Amino acid sequence: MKLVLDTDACQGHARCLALAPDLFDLDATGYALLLVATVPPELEAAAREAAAACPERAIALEP
Amino acid sequence: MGTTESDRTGGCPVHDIHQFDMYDPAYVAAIFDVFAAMHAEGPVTRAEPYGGWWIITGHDEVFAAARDHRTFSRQTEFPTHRFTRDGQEFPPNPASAIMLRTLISLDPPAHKPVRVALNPHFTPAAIAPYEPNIRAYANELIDSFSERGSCDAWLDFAQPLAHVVIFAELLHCPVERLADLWAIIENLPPNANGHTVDDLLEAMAEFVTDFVLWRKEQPPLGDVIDTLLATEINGQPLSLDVVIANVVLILAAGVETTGSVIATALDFLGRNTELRAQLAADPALLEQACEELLRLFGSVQLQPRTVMQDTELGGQQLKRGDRVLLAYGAASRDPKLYECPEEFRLERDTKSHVAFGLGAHRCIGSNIARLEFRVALEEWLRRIPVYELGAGHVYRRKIDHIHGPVALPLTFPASTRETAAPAGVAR
Repeated sequence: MKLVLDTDACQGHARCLALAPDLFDLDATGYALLLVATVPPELEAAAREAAAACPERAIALEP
Repeated sequence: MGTTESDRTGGCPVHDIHQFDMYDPAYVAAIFDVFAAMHAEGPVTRAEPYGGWWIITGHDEVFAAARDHRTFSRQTEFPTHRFTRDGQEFPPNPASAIMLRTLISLDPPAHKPVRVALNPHFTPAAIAPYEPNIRAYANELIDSFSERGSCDAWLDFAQPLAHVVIFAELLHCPVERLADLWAIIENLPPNANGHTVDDLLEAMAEFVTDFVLWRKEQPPLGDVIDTLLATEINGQPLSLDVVIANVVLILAAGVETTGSVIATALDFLGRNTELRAQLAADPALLEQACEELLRLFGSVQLQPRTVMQDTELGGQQLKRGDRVLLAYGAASRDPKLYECPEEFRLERDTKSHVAFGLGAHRCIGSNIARLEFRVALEEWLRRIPVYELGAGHVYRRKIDHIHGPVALPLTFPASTRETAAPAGVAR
């Protein structure tokens, strides 16, 4: 599973970081940053949670 | 849980949604019934007062409009700032005009440099150190009334807590100065529309000017104030009046809002004692409970926009120049998205609530608000797990579009103080 972040849509709510701190961080300007491109199997559930939690729908999952 | 709003509003009074007036206490008291009636008619409703406004209530439509600044500009004032109720336009007052040059009113791209400069002060990592201090402030405030067995949970707890967090933690303003600001807020003269954001901004400006000028003379702390003083747009530093206006904005946006959510939650839990007991017994549930309470009672109900080009939204034809109110409080209760939206359901999936708005202007302080809200309820329920709502409960908005009580008298079993060395945050 791959994570795709739409950096134009991200507004820095930081919900992804709250739910999946192993997958997301914030950059120096407060917007989301992907820590991995390919999601390890044990973090797939967290990745789905984070994508669903993005208020701006900026996170997509690809097989 | 199956608790609804109608016990507070006394049933479902009949309101003409096309005469919706966000400053009329009758509409304010029944705001969620009004939103429900708007949902029943469609996602975009026309309301005639103040020259005519589109009220966007659908979640999809709010999502679309809030994120499209080219079509929906934030360079817009609230209805009473420019219009009488019967639609006569008047010139903006200076306090309102300068707010159009602050972060909340700038459209991208001018918005971005200010936002990017301020964002790092509001990240979860930046605000995590607040937690023990918020807990200490909350307990000091509870100490100020715990032995008495009664308090006004707005005046004695939620409002001062929200003040001290923004003042002392975010702005590094000496706690001794707080009393000056409370005096200003308490002495706001009522006007024809009730208290408005303009009145508050005007009253705060002098206080904030003194504070910012004082901070300019102090060694830099690398905080929000220093960042604003160093921020440039197109190579030009922000003028001092714009810096001051942004600090006023931070106060206005960070104090009444979070304080109102805390007070609204205490009010709600005062009438839902089974839920209250459940949360007091298991504070780990509070994180999820707070999200559901934010969905139901997010304090910022409405935000204005101006239509920049003809567009269709929710089946309505909007014309260039039309005025719009994004009803975040309604979108978080859209029945298309939430089953029985007026009910508190702890297990509900709340992820899509828009209590903090969407798009470039989504609340910059949401991480502070979430932390402060949870810690306030944790400490309150630990210290005062059982309380009764008293008489004289006043539920109305003091400031424009903010939802929450301005008087919340409670009684409870008296208990002893806990704080050894108070910092002086109680009124």
